[in-house]
Amino acid sequence: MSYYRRILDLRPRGRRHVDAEMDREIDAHIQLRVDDLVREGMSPTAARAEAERRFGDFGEARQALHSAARRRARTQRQRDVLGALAVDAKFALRQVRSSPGFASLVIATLAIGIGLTTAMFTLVERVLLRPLPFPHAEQLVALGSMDSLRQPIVVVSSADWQDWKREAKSLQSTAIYSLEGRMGIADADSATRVSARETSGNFFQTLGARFAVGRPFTEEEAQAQTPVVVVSEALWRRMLGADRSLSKPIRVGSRSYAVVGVVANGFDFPAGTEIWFADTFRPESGGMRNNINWLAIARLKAGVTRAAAAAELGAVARRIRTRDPVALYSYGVDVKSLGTTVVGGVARYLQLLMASVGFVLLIVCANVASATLGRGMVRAREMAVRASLGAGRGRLIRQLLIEHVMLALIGGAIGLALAWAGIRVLLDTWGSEIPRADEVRLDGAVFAFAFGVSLMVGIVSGLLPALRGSRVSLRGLMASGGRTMAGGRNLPGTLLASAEIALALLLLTGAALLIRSFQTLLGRNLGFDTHVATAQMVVSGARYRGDPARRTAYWDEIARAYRAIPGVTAVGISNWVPLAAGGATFIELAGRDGANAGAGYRVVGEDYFRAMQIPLVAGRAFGAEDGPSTQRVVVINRRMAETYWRGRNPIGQLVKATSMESAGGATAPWLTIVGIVGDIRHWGLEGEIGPEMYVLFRQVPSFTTSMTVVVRSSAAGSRIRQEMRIRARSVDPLIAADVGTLDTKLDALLAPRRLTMSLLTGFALLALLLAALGVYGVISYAVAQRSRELAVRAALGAQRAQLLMLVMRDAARFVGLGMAAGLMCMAWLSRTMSAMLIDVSPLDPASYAMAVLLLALVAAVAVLVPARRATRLDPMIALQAE
Amino acid sequence: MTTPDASLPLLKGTLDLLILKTLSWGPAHGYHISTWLERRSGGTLGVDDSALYQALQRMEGRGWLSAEWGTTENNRRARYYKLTAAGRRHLRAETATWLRYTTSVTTILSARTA
Repeated sequence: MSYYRRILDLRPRGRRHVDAEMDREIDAHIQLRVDDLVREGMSPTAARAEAERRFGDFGEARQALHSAARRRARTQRQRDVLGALAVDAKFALRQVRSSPGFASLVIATLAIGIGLTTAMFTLVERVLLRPLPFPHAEQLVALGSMDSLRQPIVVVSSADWQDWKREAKSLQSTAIYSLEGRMGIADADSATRVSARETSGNFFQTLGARFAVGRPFTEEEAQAQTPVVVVSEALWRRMLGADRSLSKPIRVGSRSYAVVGVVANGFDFPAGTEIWFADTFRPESGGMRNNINWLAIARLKAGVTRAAAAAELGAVARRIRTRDPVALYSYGVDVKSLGTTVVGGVARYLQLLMASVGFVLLIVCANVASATLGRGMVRAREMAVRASLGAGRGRLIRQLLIEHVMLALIGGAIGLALAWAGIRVLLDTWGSEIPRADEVRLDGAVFAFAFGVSLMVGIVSGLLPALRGSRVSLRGLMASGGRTMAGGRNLPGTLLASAEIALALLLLTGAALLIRSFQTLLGRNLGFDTHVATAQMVVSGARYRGDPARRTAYWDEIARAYRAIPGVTAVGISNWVPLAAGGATFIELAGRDGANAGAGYRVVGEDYFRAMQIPLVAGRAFGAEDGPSTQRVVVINRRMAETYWRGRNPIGQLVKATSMESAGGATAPWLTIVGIVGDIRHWGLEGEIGPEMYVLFRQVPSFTTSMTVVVRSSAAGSRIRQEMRIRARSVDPLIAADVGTLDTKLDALLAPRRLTMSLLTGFALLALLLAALGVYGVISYAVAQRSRELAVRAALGAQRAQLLMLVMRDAARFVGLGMAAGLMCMAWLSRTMSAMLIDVSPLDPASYAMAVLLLALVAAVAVLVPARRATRLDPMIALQAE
Repeated sequence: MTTPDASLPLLKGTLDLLILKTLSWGPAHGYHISTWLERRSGGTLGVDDSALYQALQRMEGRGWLSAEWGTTENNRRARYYKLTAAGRRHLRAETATWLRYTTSVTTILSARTA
């Protein structure tokens, strides 16, 4: 078997074949010896016996030789393949060196395509595919409540959770923890704020956290309310001096907590948390059961599906309702994958971007293929000569493929460097919005991906040119008079250009849809003004415990101190300022059956509406006449008025915050509506407007532990914020203020969308450029091919315009084909984007028109430039050239 | 003709060297090599046929030999082995080593005790 046929024979030569050959060789040997022995005078039978005896144990020897032969065949095959590849690679490198201009253009294109794809993959792999750094993360779930409409709610009540934990058999373990919270940690005489959560005893055990030092706290410690905490490795290094004996406690307010453990770096759950407190969760009943303030996680027993767990927990929820009829959120239990929950909204942006770079990569492949096709015509002579010297078609295909793979690998190496730089830039601008961003790095998986993509791109972009380039014959070449191959119509080239146009149109339309959505968002009215500084504080410590009046006094004092800052025009307080979290309550309307009626519930100070510039629409805001012991009053928003008192005046009506204000088994009091304020988008520009009610903080002192102070001023922001920190410390040195602005919050909320839009627009423009290059190449080639014909036409008197039209007509055909294909694909694909679009239909005509127009314009330029060359041909020169 | 049982055992690695040497005069099939070795050594070097073919396979795998089917003078089919360039290089290097080695050992063994 010839050297090359052995390589091209993809099916490895079977064992049986090798064995049979060995057998034939042994038989030949025996025969030769028998011949000799017979010649010496032995009888044939005796000669055969002697010949076999000389082999030792004949059967055993045969076995051993079979395996020796197989070993030989295997190593030979490996060596042949490697050797042939080395020969081809050497040849390919020579080709690359012989046309550096072409090669570097192809390599640059490939580097961009592979680099982009690798960069996106690096993010996606870390963020979407491996969102949780915990053992057997697939067993981890988030548990949520369900209201009577079977709407899932992420938060749960501790009472419900206690029952789930006790009764459900499908959970291996389950834990509960508080919503986002920041806490002041006292250090000698000052306090800093860190992100903290209260958790049930088995929180770390459920997740399977790895500890750098110490241990997780135990269920017993949590039950006994032992003051113990677990801290992050970063905090341990920063504030505790990385002391392995953990002798220094953590002080919060006037209490001190023993540090029992340090979770190893990489444990970042919930994201950003640095301190975990052990909390006890006592069973509660009555209205307290409806306090849904907690987040719950669980680890399912091995082999239990989420659906099975949801079914079992659903039964538990039904039993809770039978026992405790006031339970409002026990109509089922929502069981979600914890990974999906953690990644959250960023997932769809990353998916969109990943798909986009995939399209860019396809365009890159088409571009390289089409460029090589054009060149393949030039190399037809080389191919024909090689074929005539005995290189088979397979040999030529392999050679051309290897040239492409070589180019792709070089491009891939450069692309990997580009990817790394790109990721750094991306993380610097977007890092805080991407879960687990700090763990993004180039690792084996990324290298393997880049290598795989390069290989694939090399083969995909090389296959068409290889198949076409290898179909040559010396006869054909001779017949064409040895001129550069008369390729006739360049059908594959034009089809590739059409494909590029189609893909570019997809990306352009996608970008246009996102840009239009973003414009819509920016045009929206939030209903409040974000140019305010905020200071969040948590009142804790022995001074305030069990003394609500003291807390109210603290907030009054803070407001007074902030009002005294020069330039400050208004100071308001609220437990939930917009753009962060927010609580809601079930409500009851006097004289009506308000089943499932609900509203956002905010606790605010007198000046809050003025500070936030939320307009008063009717009635009055809170004032000096409202105090801790006067009639309970409430201000509602316009949406609430429209929702529950359509066509009637709500002022003077009575409403109850049933779930929120029935703490400790007390029944919620009636609240009198005194005013209506404008609607706001509490959850940001992308959020919807809902009914909201505002109560005065003096009248609900139990809700005033954690509040945010809003400061409006005419002075420079940074100076005001500095003053806010200082003055908060002067009011109580042990309570630290978490100072920020609503502007930055708004920016942060928009960041993922803004970045996605910018990136997608960048990708689309890159695609546009690549497609334009593709079109340019095809037309240039066509003009070059037809130069004789065009010259003859010109000589016969054709006008310039006529020649131009001739070229343009062909171009219009394939550009139009590409656009039509692109539009159809986009009409079908755009539905997947609908979740990201704001008041813009996935089939928004304006976006499509914008994309088509831009693409048509650029394509026209890409056609015109080479087409004009056709009109400037000097007939004499063109005809003499060949 | 001596029987293999009466012959000297082959030192490790020597067989390869002898086969390469045999083939340095021209292509030969396995049986030819076997009889040639017997004859040249005057029957003192006995090579198990099985061991010979094991060695041939191993050396072919290493790229020292190449093999092709051919016809003997008596019109029998046989697999003919030929030295490759790599095999020739290997033979040269190993021969030099072998000669140096045996010379040193011989010098020591034939030295008179002091």
